[in-house]
Amino acid sequence: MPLYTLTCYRDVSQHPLVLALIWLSLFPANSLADDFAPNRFSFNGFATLGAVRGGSEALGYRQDVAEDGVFEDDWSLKTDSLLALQFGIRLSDNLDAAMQFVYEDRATNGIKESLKWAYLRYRFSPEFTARAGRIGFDLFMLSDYRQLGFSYLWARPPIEFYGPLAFEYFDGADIGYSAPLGIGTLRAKFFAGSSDTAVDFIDDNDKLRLDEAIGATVNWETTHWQLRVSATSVEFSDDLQQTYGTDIFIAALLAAAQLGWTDAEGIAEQIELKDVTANYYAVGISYDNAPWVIQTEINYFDAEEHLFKSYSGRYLSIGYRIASTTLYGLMARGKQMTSRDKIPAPPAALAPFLTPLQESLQTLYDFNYINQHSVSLGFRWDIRYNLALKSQWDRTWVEDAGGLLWDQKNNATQKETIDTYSLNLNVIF
Amino acid sequence: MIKRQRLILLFIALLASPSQAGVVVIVNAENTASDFSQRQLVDLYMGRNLYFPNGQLALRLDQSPSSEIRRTFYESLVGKSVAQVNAYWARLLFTGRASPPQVIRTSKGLLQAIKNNPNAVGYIDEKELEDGVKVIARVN
Repeated sequence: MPLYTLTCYRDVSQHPLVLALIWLSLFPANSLADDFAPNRFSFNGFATLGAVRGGSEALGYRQDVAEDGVFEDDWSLKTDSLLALQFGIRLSDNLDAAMQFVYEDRATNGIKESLKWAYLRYRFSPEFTARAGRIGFDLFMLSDYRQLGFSYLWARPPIEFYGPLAFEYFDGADIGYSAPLGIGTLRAKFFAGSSDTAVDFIDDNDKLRLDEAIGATVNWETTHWQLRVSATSVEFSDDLQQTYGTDIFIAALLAAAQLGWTDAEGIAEQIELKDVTANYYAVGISYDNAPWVIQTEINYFDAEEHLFKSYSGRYLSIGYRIASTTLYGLMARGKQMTSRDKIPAPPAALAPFLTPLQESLQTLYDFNYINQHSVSLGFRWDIRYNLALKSQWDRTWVEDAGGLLWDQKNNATQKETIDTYSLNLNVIF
Repeated sequence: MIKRQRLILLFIALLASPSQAGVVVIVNAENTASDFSQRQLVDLYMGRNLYFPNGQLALRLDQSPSSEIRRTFYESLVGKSVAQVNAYWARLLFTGRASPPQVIRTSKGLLQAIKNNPNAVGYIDEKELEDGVKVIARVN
């Protein structure tokens, strides 16, 4: 009997998140003391314990391109689970500092990746604030709270829209302006900085880097409506070519050109990733008036590269509240704006040598292609004022070779229909 | 038979009627703020404007999350449940935009906090009003 107890304890203790969640859910909504002086220090956090089953043999489910996948018949607790801790200190009425750590599964993981933000903020006036340090990207409706499961309806943000956006923070500064406008409040923000993120494209442990990101967001909000527009311009770092692993292909193509494959030079130019810039635009609207909660967003990622095509994601979500439960449906679509590239065949005489190269290049193109849509149904049940249980079913149609949002085990994937089942518990404290 | 039905109806009516006479928003008696509009209250309690009209930072106070008065206050003010308001505040808190009002677990403690702090603002049941505080709005 003691042995049995010990084994159980060990089993549970191997899931620190389980323990953390139980412990945290016993806490009040805010760990704010009953004193009446403004708190100088604050400590808050949120956590998700999420179980997910999904993926196929070839395509592994993941929330964004920074994660490892879950393949057919697997249940995973680690992909959707996370724990976030936030510390704040008020240095004066106008100056404060904050830090947030998010522990979750990532292709590359460490304390550096876990630090989501760490900044100093100064309030110049009730209207103007400025921040400097590591700051969350404010590019979409779920601005920098896409991991805060307690704050939205779904089991996860719609992957077709949020999945390709691996960048979560930047190191730099922003200036915010806020003022009443009509029946609502207007907020505008300008930001500039540099960024990096772990990705899981070609090899593990790769990073995508932005040398420069400059953007602006305008937001108008009333009690029931929110409208949001944002535009950002980014410049990728020169090591993008290494991350995508195209150096070796370029060398092989230039050699093939010497052998007499006339298309080879042109293809080499297409896969060269030097001085890559891109623009990102997003528009979102939400309406939340009991019992209805409706939200839609469209984004457009404008890029010139063949390996890095222009992309657009969109979704529409409709929820209906019945007491403390909300039922919802979600439709989402993510697609690159130009069709999939086809590598031309090498001349017949050279085919025995060059067909493997042609096939590998086709794989490289296919690997970086997105074309899918999905339908989801689910519910959110607010168990307590700081604890919510969600369950969601997704059916996703992935077109031929359109699987970049998934963890791709085989190279050229076929058209597939994949179901994903999720159950998660979200808490704030 | 009719008498019994009436009694049942009366009993149901008693159960359904809110226990609070009314929820009032209060500040320190020395605070220059007066007659807050619905819009000003929403801005203050939903974190859109954290300042009094005189430019002082408001120390916003909230009641216990499981209390009836908190449920009534937010239901009347913005038509949202405590859980919905919490989900909204979680967004502001965890994106660093603003901190939610500080929780004081009893109306007594809240009254004391307001009497001691000229920039504090809170809400209580009208029946619990005391000297030393000033009503700036009524929410239901």
